Amino acid sequence: MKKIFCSLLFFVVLTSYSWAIKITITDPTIRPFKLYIHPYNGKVKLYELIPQTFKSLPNFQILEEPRSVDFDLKAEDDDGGLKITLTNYKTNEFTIFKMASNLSSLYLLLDSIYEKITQTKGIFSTKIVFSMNWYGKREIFISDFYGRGIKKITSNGRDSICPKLSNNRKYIVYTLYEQNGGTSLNLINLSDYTEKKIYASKELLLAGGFSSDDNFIYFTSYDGKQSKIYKFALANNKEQIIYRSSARIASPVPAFQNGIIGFVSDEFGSPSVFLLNLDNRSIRRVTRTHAYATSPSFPREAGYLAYLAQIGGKNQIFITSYDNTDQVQLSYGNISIDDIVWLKNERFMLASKASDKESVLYLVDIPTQKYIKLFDIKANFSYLNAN
Amino acid sequence: MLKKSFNYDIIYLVDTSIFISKQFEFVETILKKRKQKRFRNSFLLAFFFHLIAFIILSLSYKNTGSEVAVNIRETVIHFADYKPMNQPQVEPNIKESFKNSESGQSDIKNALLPEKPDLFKRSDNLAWRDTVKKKFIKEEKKILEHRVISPPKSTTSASSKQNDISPGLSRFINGLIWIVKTHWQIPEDYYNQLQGMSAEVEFYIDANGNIAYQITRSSRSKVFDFYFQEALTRTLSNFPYNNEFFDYLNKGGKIFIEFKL
Repeated sequence: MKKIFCSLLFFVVLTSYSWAIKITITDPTIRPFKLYIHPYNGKVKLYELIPQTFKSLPNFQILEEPRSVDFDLKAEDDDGGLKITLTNYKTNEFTIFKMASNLSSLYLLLDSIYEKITQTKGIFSTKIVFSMNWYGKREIFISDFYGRGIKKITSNGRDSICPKLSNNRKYIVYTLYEQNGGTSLNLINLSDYTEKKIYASKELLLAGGFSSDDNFIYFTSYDGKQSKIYKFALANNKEQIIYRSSARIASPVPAFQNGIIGFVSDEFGSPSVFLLNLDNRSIRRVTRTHAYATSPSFPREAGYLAYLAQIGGKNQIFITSYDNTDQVQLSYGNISIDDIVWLKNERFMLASKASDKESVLYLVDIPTQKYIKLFDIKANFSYLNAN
Repeated sequence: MLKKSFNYDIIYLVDTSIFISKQFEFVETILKKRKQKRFRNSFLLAFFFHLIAFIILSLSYKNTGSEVAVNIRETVIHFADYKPMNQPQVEPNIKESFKNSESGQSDIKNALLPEKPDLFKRSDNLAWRDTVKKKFIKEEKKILEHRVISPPKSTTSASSKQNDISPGLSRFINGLIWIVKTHWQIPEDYYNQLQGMSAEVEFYIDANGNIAYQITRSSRSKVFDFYFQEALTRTLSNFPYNNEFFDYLNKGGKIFIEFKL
């Protein structure tokens, strides 16, 4: 009886299934977010950065009319600040943001709006640090995303280079050329701009970067014969040599996972990017196809890194997997990039182009390969870093 | 009288010949003048035409040139516009790791060798992209899958009659897929995040006799469900009536659409 029932059921299921037409569609049209921004006639002048920002982003399309939009943005004055209402037309939800009339609030607001819409990390509160010529000596500068509040944070009167910003945006470590010929690593606390010397040597020290938990700093030293990579513990001010080589080493950038450090070395004659595995201290060259590769930068997710490589005398951006089985060229053309930093939102990267007369900072949108100019300075800046 | 008239005729003839010869002269001068005039007119016309064309072209050239220059200088630089290549920059399958500089001697040689583009290898077919393209790189357009489960031959005559998918119905379904696909739009950042999700809907005829749909399997993502429902709503709002499609549903035939990323 059971068997008959089962076979009958099977027959019924088979028959009903055989009546069906099943279609699978896997190909949606990919488009940018459609955003409508209501006109604003209030008093807050900083508001202009909001429409300007979203107009410049390739993953947003600003519509002239509020028809068939995904989101709608309306700004009103509110106690000297701004009250922004973001309406999601797809889910019929709205969110209200309030901001004070100052730059840092505006960047936080932009981040919040961007995160609410795209569900990915905002990048506008990113701090940018670099070294720039100041009356003949290089000093350290810090800037906001659009270069509206650039500040000089060192007054050493001696060359200060290679600033690196911690992941929590509270500290900057940089290299200072000492009067006696050596160099030192100095740590600036950004909450009160106090500064302390954490390591000094007669060798050339170059700050590399903070570990992902901000407890360690990686840096290199070079005495003319040998290079070393150090791991420096901020808690007890103790350093540990993790790699040494007869080649010249620079830019030890820690990856965010897996205990990997990327650095530049001329071990095989010309600068190449290497990966150092902290578990077994082995190194691996990742830029085998390029004769001149520098500036490694890691995204938050493990598995790949970006670097600059010279093609026809111009620095172009590449992304490669750790095992170098594959890579993609991200920039083409006549513009030569001098430095890159991968931002917290993995869609974007900062790229700088510097010359003696002018330096320009671009935001690179990786999927569309568009370069959005953030700001320029009529001076030569170098050692770009951001967080 | 006759003589007189004869003379008259001679005079007349002479006069006529003079008249005709004069007329020829006249016509000739007229033609000559006309020719000169035509030449002058055509020359003037050509001159003015070229002058106007030159002014228009030079003005339009100047305008577009300045606009492009401003765009490039002030807002966005499209590196993608300069993209010249379809050449790979990498030799795959290099997985060697090393610990000392001795093993790296061959690497120096490799590094110094000029890059040879492999013409038989497409740069957009890189394995690295497969792992990260969903995050960063726009995917190549996927091929639309359309799978029709044909009825088994061993069913009863009545059902086999119902189960036969006529060419007209098949054409209509292909059109339907195309319309749904056109309306199914997802913002790029969501597309990257929603990878791997899928949902299924079934078409049916509602109480009012209209074609409607119901979700038979949700993706459990509000955003994903919203965008394919938007596509279906837009499709059904301008849905062309098709007898065969209607009959198929009316006779108990089922049509499922699976939306998959």
